[in-house]
Amino acid sequence: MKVEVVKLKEDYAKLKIYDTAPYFVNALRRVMLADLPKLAIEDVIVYDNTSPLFDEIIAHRLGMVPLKTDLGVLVPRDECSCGGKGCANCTVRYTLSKEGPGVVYSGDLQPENERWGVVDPKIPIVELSEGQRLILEVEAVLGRGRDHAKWQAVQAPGYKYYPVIEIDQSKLDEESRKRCVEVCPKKILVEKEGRLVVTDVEKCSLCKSCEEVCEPGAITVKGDETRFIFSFETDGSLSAKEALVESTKILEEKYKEMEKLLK
Amino acid sequence: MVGYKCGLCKKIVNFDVKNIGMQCPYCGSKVFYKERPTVAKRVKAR
Repeated sequence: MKVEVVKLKEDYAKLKIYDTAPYFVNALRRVMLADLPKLAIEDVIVYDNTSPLFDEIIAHRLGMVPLKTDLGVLVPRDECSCGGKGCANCTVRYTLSKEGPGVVYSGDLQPENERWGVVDPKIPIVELSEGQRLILEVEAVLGRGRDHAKWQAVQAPGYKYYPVIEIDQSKLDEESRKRCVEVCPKKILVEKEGRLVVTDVEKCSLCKSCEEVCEPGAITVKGDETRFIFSFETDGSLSAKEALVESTKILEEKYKEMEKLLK
Repeated sequence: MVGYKCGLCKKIVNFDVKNIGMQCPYCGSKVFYKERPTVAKRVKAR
């Protein structure tokens, strides 16, 4: 297997994976969705809430706030030595106290340690009018996407087969070349010196529209089942690199566990 | 006795739970708000 990094940003990555099979890339995608741990608010202790929203609604909104996660420091609560009581190794506490008028934002959550700050401080939670108050304390724990969407660090992980476009120039006349150029939704087909050429094959969505408007066999669009373009983005709780490395570790552990069970 | 806040004059009024036909003794209003009890409430963020 060969991996080529096409684009790597803080919260986005695009890779080319060669010499592999769809099941492997799909396994990686599913691990990213369901098994990659991240920190999210689980318990909310409300001391005072005179806002227009119910405690449960506010708790739900707080739960969806992305929090910075360090997987090297925290352990899931159910695996912690404290036995699920909640200690510094498995639980991060935040406090929130605000009085209206004004909007309560995610940035108003005060972590016990600055390293656990929120990713985006401008997520609105509730709007308070004059005299309204919101005082609460929250506990955030590590969890996995299979339990709740709030623990899903990676958004929209997806892959596509590497497009392979074969053009038989002898079967194309000027009219059909023009039709192909017009029908391509990604605008990757152009006419150049009496020939139909592909400008950026990776942009092809394998829709086969060009195939349909031409003579049979003039254009063949296929997906290479050994090469893939894999892309994903994170909510900021983990960097794209961390998410990818951790996901591969989890996948490796799963394969090892299966091997052990089969022996 | 249970404490309610009058919707008009905002004064705290105590009523017996068996009381039928609540009315504010200060302003005569019949709209009351139940005050939130001063205890911490634990909610799951789900």
